[in-house]
This record gives sequence, C-alpha cells and structure tokens, in this order.
Amino acid sequence: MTLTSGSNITGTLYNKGISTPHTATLYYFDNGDIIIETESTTKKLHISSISISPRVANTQRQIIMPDGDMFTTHDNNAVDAMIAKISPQQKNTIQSLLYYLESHISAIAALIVVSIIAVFIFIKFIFPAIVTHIAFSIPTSTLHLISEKTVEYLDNQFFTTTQLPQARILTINAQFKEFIATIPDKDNYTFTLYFRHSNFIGPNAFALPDGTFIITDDFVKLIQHKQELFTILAHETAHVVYRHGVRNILLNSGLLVIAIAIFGDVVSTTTIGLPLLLIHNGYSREFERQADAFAINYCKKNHISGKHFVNLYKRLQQKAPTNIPSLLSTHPSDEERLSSFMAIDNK
Amino acid sequence: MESIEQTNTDSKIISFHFTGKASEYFKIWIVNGLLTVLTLGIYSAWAKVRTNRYMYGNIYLDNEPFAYTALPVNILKGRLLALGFFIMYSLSGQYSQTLYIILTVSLLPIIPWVIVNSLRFRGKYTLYRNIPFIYKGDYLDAFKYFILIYIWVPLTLGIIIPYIYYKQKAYIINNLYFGILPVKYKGKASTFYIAFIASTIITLLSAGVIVGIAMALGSSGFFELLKNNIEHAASINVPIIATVSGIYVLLIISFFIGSAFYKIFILNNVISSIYCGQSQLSCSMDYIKYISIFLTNALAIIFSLGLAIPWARIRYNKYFYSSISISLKDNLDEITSIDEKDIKSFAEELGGFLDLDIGF
Repeated sequence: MTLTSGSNITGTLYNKGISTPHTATLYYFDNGDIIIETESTTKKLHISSISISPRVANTQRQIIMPDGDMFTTHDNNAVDAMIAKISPQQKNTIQSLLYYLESHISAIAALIVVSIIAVFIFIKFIFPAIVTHIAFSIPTSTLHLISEKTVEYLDNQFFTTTQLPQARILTINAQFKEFIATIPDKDNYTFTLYFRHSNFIGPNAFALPDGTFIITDDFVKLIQHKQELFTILAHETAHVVYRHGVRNILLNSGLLVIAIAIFGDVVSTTTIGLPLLLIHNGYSREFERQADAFAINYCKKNHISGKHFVNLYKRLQQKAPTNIPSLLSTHPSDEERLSSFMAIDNK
Repeated sequence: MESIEQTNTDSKIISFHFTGKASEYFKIWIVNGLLTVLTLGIYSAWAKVRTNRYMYGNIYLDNEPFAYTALPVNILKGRLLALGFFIMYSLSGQYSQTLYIILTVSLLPIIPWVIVNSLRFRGKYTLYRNIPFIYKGDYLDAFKYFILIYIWVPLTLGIIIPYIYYKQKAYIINNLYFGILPVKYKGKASTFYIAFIASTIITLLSAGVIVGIAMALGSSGFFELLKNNIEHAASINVPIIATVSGIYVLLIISFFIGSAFYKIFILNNVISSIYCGQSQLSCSMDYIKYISIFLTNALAIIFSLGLAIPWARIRYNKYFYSSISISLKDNLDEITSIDEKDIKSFAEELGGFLDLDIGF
C-alpha cells in the first residue's frame, strides 16, 4: 500500500448514535482503501462501501459508513479529488453533473437557451399533436353528449325560442340540407341546425363538436343570399370536422394542469394566467385560419365568390363591431381574413 | 464568528447563523427551475433536496452546520402517489358524485396521517452532528388537534381558533426529540389570543392612519372626485379609479403590517418557549426590521420579475436565524440518538401537494 500524494482529507468523525465530534483525517489509496484516523481510533474501509453525499455549493459533505459512523468535511475539493482518483465511476453521476451546472454560469446560460427552445417546441408542436391525437380518438357518442349538454346550458342561460317566421326557417333549413349534402365527411357527424333567439348574444352562428349548428335570429336577418350562408356554414363545418371544439378544451385545460404542476410552487396562478391566455389565443387563431382555409377551399370547389363572405362579414361588423387588439383576439385580423376571401375571385 | 457569551458556569448562550450566499443560491435556484420545466416536473424532487441541502447546510450552531439527508427518489415516489391521488380526486368530481364525496370524506382521516408522517420524515432526515430529529407524534392526537377540534369553532363562534393554533403548535413541538433530548413547548394559549387581538387592532389603526394621511394629502381633490363620480356614475373616471386602487393598496399594506405583527409576535414567543432538553431557545425578531426586509424583498422581487427571489430568501434567512439563540445547558457533545423505523416520504409529499402548511 502506497500513500498517493495529497491523498488525505481532514474533517470530523462522529460515531453512530452519539454527537461527540472527533477530529479526524481520512487517507485514501489507489486501490480504493480508506483509513480514517482519530487521536484514539483507526477505521479501515473500502470506497465502495461508503456513501458520499452530493456536493451542493460549499456546504459540508457527509460520508456515511456502513456501520452508521459519519465523517464530515468542508473540504469539498478534496472529496471531489478522491472520487476522481479512486472511484471514477462515481464521478459521472447525475449529482456531480448538477454541481457542474450550478457552479458554471456559462452552463446555466446554455441551459436557459435549451429550455426556451424546448418550451417553444413543446407548446408549438408536441402538445398540440398530442391533443389532436386525443381529440380524434374521442368517440362520436361522447361528442354528442358534450354538445347536448352545451345546448342545454345555452338554452338555460341565453336562448329563447326563435321568433323568425316559419317560412324563413323552412328556407334556411332547406339551404342547410343542400349545404350538408356537399360535405364529404357528413356521415360521421349528425349535422342539424337549431334556430334560437337571444337578446345578449346578437348575430352569431356556431357549431358544436357533434355537428349541431346554432344560428341566432339576428344572424339570419343579416343573410341576404344563399351563398353567404354557405360560406359561414363552411367555416363552422371546418371547426366540426377538425374537432377544433374539443381540441380547444383539451389545449386550454391541459396547459393549465401542466403549468400548475410545474410552476405551482414557484409563482401564483394569476402570474401563469396571462401567458397561458396568450398561448391559448395563439392556438385559437390557428384554428380560425384553418377554418377560413377550409371555407375558401369550399368556395373554390363550388364556384362561390369570396364577395359573399366579405359582404356578410361587413354587415356583421356593422352590427357588432369588435375592436380587440390582434394579440388578445381569437380571430385573425379583419384585413387578413377578408383579403384571403377576396383572393378567391382573382383566379 | 460565533457569538458566545458565558453567563454562568453551566450555561452559555449561542446564536444561530445562516451563511448562505445569494450568488450561490441563485444558481441552484435557476438550475432547479429550468430542469423542473425540462423534465415536466420530475426534477422537482431533486430540486427540493438540493434546496434543503443548501439551506440546512448553511444553518450553523456552535460552528457545526445542520444537514438534510433525504433521497430525491423517495420524495419523487411520494410526489407521484400524491399526484395520482390528486388527479383521481379532481376527475372523480366529473364522473361520479359518490366517489367524489367518498374521497372528500376520506381526506379527513388522511390529513392528520399526512401531517404526522411528514413531520417524521422531515425530522428523520434533518441531522445535527450525526443526530437525527425523531418525531413521535401519535396519529389519534393529530386527528384530535387537526380535525376533531374544529367542531368547536361554530359552537364557540370562533373564539376557540387561537386556542386551536396553540394546541397544534404544542402537538407539533412536544412530540419532537433531538436524539434522546425531548423538545418541549412551554408556551401559553394566551400568547395566541394576544397576537390575534393586537394584530387586529394594529391593522385597523394603521388602516385608519394610512387612509387618514392619504385623504388629508389629497382631500380637496378626493371629495371633489367622489362627488363627481356619484353624479356621473355611468362615466368611468380615471382619477377616481387611481384613487380607489390607491386606497386599496394602502389597505393591503395596513393588513400586511397587522399580519407581520402577528407573525413576529408568534415566532418570538413560540420559539422562546421551546426547550430542547434543559436548553431554552430564544427568538428576538424586530418588527420594524422584519417589515423593512419584507417590503424591500417584495419590491425587489416585483421589479426583477422574480429573479430576486433567491436573494430575498437568503436575506430573510440570514435575519431569521441570527435572531435565534439557545441558552445551552446540555452538552452538545454527548447527545445520543434513538432508533426509528424507516419512514416513507409519501406522507410529506401529499402534504406538500395539498398545500398543508405545518411549519411555524
């Protein structure tokens, strides 16, 4: 046995179960043997039998022996040198990597960059992909249940029976059937149209996940042309067949759960709220773009002029003007939408 | 660096010290945050252990630091179990009303179990000079002081609440052992009543003073604005909103002054009533100093968008531990430990997840 140079660590030895400190020196040797010497005792062990606490900044390290004795030292560098010298397999553990990260500002900077990229990729691609997969595996019966409950809720809260003349309802209904007949995916959904009156909601038309459409009286009054109705129906149909409704719910609630699970300890829910709202609106805008693209495609195929959408949209804007800044809005900006519809006629 | 005063032959007063540095802790804190995000929360168990290792390892008494020795894997297991329970609990509400009620009712016996076991876990892995803290609290007592006792709240119109807090502190402290030395709480329930009443009076007084000053400073404008606002109730008035939210902020500050008094009064009195063996602890935090530290910390955190959190924590810990001392009558070199069976960390983690604050 040869003593290697610089191969000792000074510290304190505590025997199991008693707080008496003994000034001690730990000697280590190339073959892994360790000797801990105090004024009156000598212990001999092997590096493989002891457990060395991970390094955290410059706090005291504990070396715990199989018999429950403990050697403590503040000489962290000496402990690291011992590990590197006689127990290199312990050197590359997670814990020593963590200490490396925590003590190198450049490593932290790199970690910040990696984290930002990872969070961006997760929010932009991975999470929406998972949600889309889940949304499309939801059985139609569940979609039906969700929609039924929604109609029930809306009827209780906002809607009364339609006040439109019977003839108008029959016409719109016939046009709706005509429209549905042109949808290739029609058999997977139960496309039905409900007429409702509301003093609060104003002119609006929207679709629920199972293909139930709700159209308000005020909206019907705005329609001057069959083709106008078709453009709106096409937009809403896209929300149904792409399952935007359920995807929206999953994105919203899923993101909140993940955010609270990760940041819950660190910051309050209100601080998480605003970034989440912005991310969520980003998703919603994406859905609206997709639905517009679907409607534009539909118009092209069925030779409907983009003017119909634009006209109806402008009438709608006069009735219910919106002035929401683009970052907070769920729909793409007006100019953006209308110009893409106008572009249909240019071809 | 130790402030040792020799009072008589068999007792000396030693102060606690906190030696953490903001620069060191900042790096640990930010790596913890980033890795927790990157691992979707799994790293939080390691983050907790490394934070506690750093914090405990920088608390010194008589030139020796404390140590935290829990393993992250145990904490992770506990965390996953707690997460499972939490998910089951929140989902059950949507699917089965009966299951939800069953789980809610089952929380009542679970909460004291979580409290007892998290105290045990925390004690077991907190070492000072190779001697762990042992918690011997009884489950039935925990059930009594954390669940059953609340029956009295409506019956006494809430007057019993300070007494409940007193009993809970006593239960937590009196069952703790440092090795074979029993830790005893010799405080009185009256402390909690004084704290409650005094902090209420202080809140009201400071609210009165603050709002009074604010109104005196802007009285001419204020009443004019108030009058205008009542006359034109429909129109939204920017100055009145600023004034009202200003008063709101001032009221929050006065509430904070009252609760700071409560916190400091309780900490000083409770810690000063704790005996470890023959040795008595003492805590002498200063109200003004505490409030100034808290306010400047809060401002620094707000204006740094949270980056000052590590600095603020270190700063508070430095002040807190330097305020605590022990009048030592036991020989710290001759404390022996008692054996305890292994303690699962699940209970502590369930406690953390459901946000049960059981420290003082």
